[in-house]
Amino acid sequence: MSATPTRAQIRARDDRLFLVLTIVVGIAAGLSAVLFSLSIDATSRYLFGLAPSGARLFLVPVGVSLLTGVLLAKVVPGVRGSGVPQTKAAFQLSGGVIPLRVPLGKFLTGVLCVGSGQSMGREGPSVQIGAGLASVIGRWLRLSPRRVHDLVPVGSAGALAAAFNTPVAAVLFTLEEIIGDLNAALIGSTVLASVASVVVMRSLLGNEPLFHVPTYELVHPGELAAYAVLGVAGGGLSLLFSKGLLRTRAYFLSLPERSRIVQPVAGGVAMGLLLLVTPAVMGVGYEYVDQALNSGLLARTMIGLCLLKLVATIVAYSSGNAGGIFAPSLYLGAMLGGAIGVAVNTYAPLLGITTGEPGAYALVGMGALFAGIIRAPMTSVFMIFEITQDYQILVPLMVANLLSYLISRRYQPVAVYDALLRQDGVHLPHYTTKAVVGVRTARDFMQEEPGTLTAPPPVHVHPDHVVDVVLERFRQSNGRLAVVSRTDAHVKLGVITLASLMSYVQPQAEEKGSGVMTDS
Amino acid sequence: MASRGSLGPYLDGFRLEIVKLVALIAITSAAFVGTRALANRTIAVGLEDAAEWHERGHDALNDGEVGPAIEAFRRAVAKDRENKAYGVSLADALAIDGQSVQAERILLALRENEPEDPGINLDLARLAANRSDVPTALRYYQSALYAPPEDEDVPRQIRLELIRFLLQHDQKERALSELIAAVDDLGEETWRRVLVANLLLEAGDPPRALEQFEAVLADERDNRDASAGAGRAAFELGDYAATVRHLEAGGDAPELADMRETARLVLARDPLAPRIGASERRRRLADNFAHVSMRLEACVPEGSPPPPEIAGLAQDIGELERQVARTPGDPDLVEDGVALAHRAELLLGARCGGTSDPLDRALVLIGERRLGGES
Repeated sequence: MSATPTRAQIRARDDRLFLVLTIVVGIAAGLSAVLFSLSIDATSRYLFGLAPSGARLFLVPVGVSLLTGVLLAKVVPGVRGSGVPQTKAAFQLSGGVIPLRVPLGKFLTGVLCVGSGQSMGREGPSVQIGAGLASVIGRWLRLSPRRVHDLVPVGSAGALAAAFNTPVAAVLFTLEEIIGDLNAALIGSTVLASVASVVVMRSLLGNEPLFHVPTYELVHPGELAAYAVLGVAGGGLSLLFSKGLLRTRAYFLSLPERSRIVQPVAGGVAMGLLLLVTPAVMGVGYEYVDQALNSGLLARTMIGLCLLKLVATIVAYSSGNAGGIFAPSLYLGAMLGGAIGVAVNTYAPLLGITTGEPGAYALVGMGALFAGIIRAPMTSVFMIFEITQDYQILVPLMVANLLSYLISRRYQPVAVYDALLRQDGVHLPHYTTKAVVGVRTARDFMQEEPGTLTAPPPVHVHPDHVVDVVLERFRQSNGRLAVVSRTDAHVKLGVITLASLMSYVQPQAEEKGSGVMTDS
Repeated sequence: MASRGSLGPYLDGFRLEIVKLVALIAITSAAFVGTRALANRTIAVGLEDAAEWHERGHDALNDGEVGPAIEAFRRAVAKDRENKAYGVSLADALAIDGQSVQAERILLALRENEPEDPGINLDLARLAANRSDVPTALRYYQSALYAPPEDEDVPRQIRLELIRFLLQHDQKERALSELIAAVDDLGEETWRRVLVANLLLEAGDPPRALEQFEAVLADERDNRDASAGAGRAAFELGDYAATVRHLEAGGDAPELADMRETARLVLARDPLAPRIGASERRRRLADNFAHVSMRLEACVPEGSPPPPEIAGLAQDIGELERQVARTPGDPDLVEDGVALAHRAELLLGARCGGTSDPLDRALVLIGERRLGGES
């Protein structure tokens, strides 16, 4: 009897390798997220010192943005902004191919931008870095294009789990936002990566939740009305943020191409001026969120911080700096919720209604803004649950989240990440297209062969083109059908040959037969 | 059967993947070690920064700059959320700034993790006390008091603060029960024993107070605070001889000098005092009547007729003086005379206002002492 393995056995070994790789990618993504966060803290401490003077507060963001402006315009132009939209695009349009310079560039520019005080978050960039590392690792190990593609959400989940210390929310976010399908087959891999990542993160930083929050609960049923008001207000603020961000960004994009190099400086100047007003809007700002969650801020302080953060984040993001909008969303929500909570706490007792602490409203406000801006309502609910470890606040949280989500979706039909991609000329396939079960795309038949083309070939396909289109164009080709990026037709991702078409189709037929590969 | 040849390249590639995977795990492990070093360094810097901000906060607070102190404490808390002391300092600064609601919220959040912490409970009690929320303050004081102490002196101080709070809010019975517990756990410090004795006196338990003061004096004869306290306790108890004796040792303050003089007059002007002769009793009674008659006259405005009560009293005094002259050996007349003088002092106090004359107070006290409050 020969020891030669069957193709099915080889596939099983391949699956096991992918399983191991999932864990390794999860660990790598978790490490990258922790390192990214620590580097931001260290950079911020180095640039600002313990108690920065007014001049330093102004000059640091301006000076650093001069450097990041060059990097973001000339060296790594694909890493502006959050990183989540780019990761979605890479997953859905480019076969999960993310060049090495993307995670490296995102790490460097993200650390510089957020570390120099730009009012942006670290979670979005972490997602792009994690996904980028996963893609690079997959290609380095010469995995099949499909496996490379599948590793992208695995890296995203791992990075986000470590960034937030919320493994369940990270999986849900990846399914909801990156993959766009809560029933995705990759759920097992993302869970595994998320768990591995969180284990690594906790072994490095301890099992500290992102925020220290007292146990909150719905004290009186009448409070639900107040939470509903918070949900409506959250929806309104989400709209203000999203529309403000998109319009300001559209303005910056309308400026001449050569101005891209100095656009981040505009954000730096604006940020410097805002930091002179209050350093509380600096960077991620979680320490102030924590205080709002613990009912430690005055209503007028929270309202002021909410407005300043809104302006700061819109300008910082729109001007092309590298950083995310997760953290600003949570910040805005906490401040809005906290301010409403103080009002409820003051006036509801006059109506004979006992209320929870303002911190409870800040917590729910965080979820409401996250649901309204990021449009990931399930992630939002589970994230807050993971942060608080408390079921009691879930009912008001769901009420506020739902209202905020519905209002935001009603008046801003395109979610902010998708709208940002559209501003860049990238159109993601509609979710109904993705939902067609069993539809194979060019990505499935592609042999990876990345490169840069001087001109797009006359006959080519994009990775998401369905099998009918692929076959039609393959007939028109010379036997090597180029697969190019949807976002940039000069970027070649791979080729489809007759062998690659057959290698994909044949195993399906054989598995239905004997299952033993023959050498005929 | 499949041949080795057709799968060879695939298997070679697979082995290469394994090698690369091992290399990847090695790189990841190295990155883990490096990241851990950076994490430890960053955490250490964060803790140092927190301590520095906390110190700056206290410096600002000492300079009377509450706003900067609050900001500094906030930064300390943000840098090191585990350090309870930073949160308590922030709450204290907020309370000083009048932001008691915020202060209480911070303390309540801290209390979630450490519900028995005496410092947090004490601060919460003080906040409740400041807004005169007696039940809440009592609850937190009790929580602070009965928490396992790190230092045995802490519960003693908390108990004393609780007693003062109870006395301020007229909760004398509860104060007394705490004082009785305090007496059993006074420690060696004299100041605390004197303080507890003073609080006993304030709570309306002069016998225990006197006992405590005298216990202190037994150890420290020259303790002027204990002497003063013992004098006051003895005065409350009607032991005027002891009052004079203690206050002569420690009664320089005007109030105490006044008390001592009153006590001395009670002893010197009491017609019913034991171990004095009948003539001395009559003399004291006559002196007391003379003083009372003079005050009655002074109470009537010049040129106007005396009010009926005053006229009646003056008439009664004259009548009693005549009876005493007629039957000098009758002890009942002396007792009637003490009662009459007492009644006159009370009337004078009501109609003409009190005086600062120790003799007037002495006559009232003599009446109360001998008549048992019947007057």
